[in-house]
Amino acid sequence: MMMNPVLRREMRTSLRNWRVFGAIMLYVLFVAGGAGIFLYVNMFESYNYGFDPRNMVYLYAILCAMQMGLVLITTPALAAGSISGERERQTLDLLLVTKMSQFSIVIGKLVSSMGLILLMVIATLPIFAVVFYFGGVTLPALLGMIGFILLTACMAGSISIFFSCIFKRTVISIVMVYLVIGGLCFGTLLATALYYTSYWNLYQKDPGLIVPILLLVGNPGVGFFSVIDGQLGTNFVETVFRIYGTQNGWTNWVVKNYWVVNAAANVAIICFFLAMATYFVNPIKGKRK
Amino acid sequence: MLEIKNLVKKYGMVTAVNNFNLVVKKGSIYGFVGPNGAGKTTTMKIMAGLLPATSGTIRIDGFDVTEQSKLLKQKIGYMPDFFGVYDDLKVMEYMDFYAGTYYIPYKERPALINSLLEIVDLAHKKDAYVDSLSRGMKQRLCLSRSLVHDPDLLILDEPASGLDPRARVEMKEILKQLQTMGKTIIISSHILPELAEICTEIGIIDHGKLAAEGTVQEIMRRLEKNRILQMKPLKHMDKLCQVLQEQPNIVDIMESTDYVEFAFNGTDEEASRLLANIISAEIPILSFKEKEGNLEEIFMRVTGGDEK
Repeated sequence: MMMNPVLRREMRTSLRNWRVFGAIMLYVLFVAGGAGIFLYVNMFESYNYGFDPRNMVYLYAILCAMQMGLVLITTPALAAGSISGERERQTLDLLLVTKMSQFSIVIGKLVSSMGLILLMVIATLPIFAVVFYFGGVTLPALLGMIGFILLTACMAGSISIFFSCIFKRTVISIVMVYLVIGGLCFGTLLATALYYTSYWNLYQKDPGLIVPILLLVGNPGVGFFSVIDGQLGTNFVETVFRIYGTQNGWTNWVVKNYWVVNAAANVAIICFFLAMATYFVNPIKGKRK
Repeated sequence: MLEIKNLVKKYGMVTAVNNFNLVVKKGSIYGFVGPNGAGKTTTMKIMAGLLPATSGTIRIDGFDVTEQSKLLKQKIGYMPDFFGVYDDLKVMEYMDFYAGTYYIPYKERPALINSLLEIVDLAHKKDAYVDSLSRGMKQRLCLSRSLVHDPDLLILDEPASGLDPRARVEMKEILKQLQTMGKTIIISSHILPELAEICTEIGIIDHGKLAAEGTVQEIMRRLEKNRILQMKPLKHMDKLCQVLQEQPNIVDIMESTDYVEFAFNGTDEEASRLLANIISAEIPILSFKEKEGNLEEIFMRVTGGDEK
């Protein structure tokens, strides 16, 4: 079987570039710094209150949260220039006249960006080893979390590639992706809060769970905390949703397994933006102009 | 090989290509000549499937460019006027990448790439980074890239632009070699004399329309109402000019230091009678010949002499 040529070239050239090594190093240093600060604070406090190894599961949560945040910041920087960069370099036309389909080009770009993200995540795995020393988190749980983070990265990557197809300049597509990601992370939370306030002001009762569930369906943060809830036995997500109304029936299941809904939404977003990117990168677009 | 019918391309209110018709025979080198903004690049991009046409059809070997673009990708090799290269790739890797985009099996690639690099005389540079190549070498590399899938039709948009005279000569030689390999080549250039040397036919495009078409000689014959004759006397230049002014069918006499040029509207027999008259007037003539026109003159005449 033949490897996607775009992916093969990207993999070959990206690792020749010192910027990639620099980015991976910064990424690892950042995560390691976070872990170091957590350990230092815990050990310092242990002089007065005693060291509790059970707290180390929170180190896992912090490391995962840092991974998630960094991935959401890094992915647009890597992927938002994938097509517009080809256009700026004047190599896009040469690519479009080949036998590669537009979908193959888009997929090649997405997978190569995800490859670098995966490399960054793998590079931080030794830091997670500290958590395993104290126990409390299983390897399958860690793999599950990495899978969820990569799926979220894929979602951010597909949005990035879509904007990269739309805008001729990489800078504009990067800005647009950050706006959309910011909207998904914080805009949806704000919208949910505004909905609650308006509803309460109008009817003086809880608004119910359906609208918040729908508004937050693409929010990577809520999905992430749902995974953490499932792995560490916390209930951040349930607590948030309880504000809006009583959980019963299917809403109870959805709130308890919100990461499943979030993952499904991510898959839908990926499919939608990849289809749109494939359409927009096609110079003919199936019609005359 | 290529048939364009009533092709129109509009950008908003601007018509870049206006009811353009063209037929290119298999195995020919067809030169596209026209001033900047005449519609050459737009037409070539539509041929390559990179731009949608507003109306009209382009057929290559009977296949419609818009409707059957996937089938045609194997048949067309395209080299744009401006193109970039992946600087962080070596020449061999660059070619391997494009071989991959045409799904050529891994095993066949080294031999294929070596033979293509031989054609463009870059075999000695196969381990060099693309970044380190000169402009001419990059042009040749891009040409070899467009050959990687053995296309029948090559669409080359200004392949010699920006090259020094030596690199242009090399490019011409490569194109002639490709013609002997059975490729049909469509080449655009504003360096007109170059096209005259290598093209079997030329088409002069102006304001998106084909203003003239045929071999260089055919176009000149069609366009030139008056032949330009040149006469070099041994002496008596003033007398020669005086005699010429008295002769019929002669206009625009231009006197130079040692010869006279004039436009002559007559047959070969009339030209020979003219020479006899001058000799009988006891003016010694060293040479008498018809001045050959060139593409530059044709181009200026067809396009009204203004480069837009």
